[in-house]
Amino acid sequence: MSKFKKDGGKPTPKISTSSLPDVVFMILFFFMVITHFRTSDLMIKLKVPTGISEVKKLEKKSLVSYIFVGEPLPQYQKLFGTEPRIQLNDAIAKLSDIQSFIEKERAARPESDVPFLTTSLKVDKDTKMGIITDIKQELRKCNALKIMYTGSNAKGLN
Amino acid sequence: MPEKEMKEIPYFGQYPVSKQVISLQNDRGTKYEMYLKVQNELVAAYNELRQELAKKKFGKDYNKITKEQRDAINEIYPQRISEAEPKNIGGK
Repeated sequence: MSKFKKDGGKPTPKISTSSLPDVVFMILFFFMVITHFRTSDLMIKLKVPTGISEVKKLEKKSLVSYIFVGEPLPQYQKLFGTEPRIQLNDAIAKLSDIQSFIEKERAARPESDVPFLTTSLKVDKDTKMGIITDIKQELRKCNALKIMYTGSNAKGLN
Repeated sequence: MPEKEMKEIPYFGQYPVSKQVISLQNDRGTKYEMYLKVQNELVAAYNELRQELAKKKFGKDYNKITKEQRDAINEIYPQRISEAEPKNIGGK
């Protein structure tokens, strides 16, 4: 008579699935917490000029479209080089893309708001004016004449 | 000094208004930071003049007076900054 019975023949019991919803919800909440809404991820180096005293607060953010200019970040330099580039929304763009970008921004807003659309230039402080001038010419061509420069009131401590 | 022109301005009556324009020219090689600093100084100068006049005429800060009063002052000191085609000394 053996003390230990060989367990054979008996099927293994089913795994209880009653905690499955908890696990699923935990994963769901985890992803909800770590995800952030994507506002255009910057692919360029952007340090706005500091020590600008005459700054004004933006009044209506919904009426502003942003153009970013600066040197690509190190991880993008293989792709886009080291010269200052233009970023529209979340892609590096060419100068010729600006007009269609403005058109798109206009189309996305009610017609009554179109005359108040402002283009905000967020430009890295080390950018040369050449590219800025080219951008302004492009903006002028599609009659986007309201532009804003971005600077910071903080004393230059960089 | 630029020529002045008598103009009818609300609150001020006949007032000599300068026909000034500030012309700004930059090189393609200028750094954006420098450009913005110059722009900033120009705007600061306008704001200073406007503030001075608001104090003198209305005894209040420029941003505390009514919109009509502000418009009158802006008509006396209109912000005219003209940007000339950039030079290309430094190259791209």
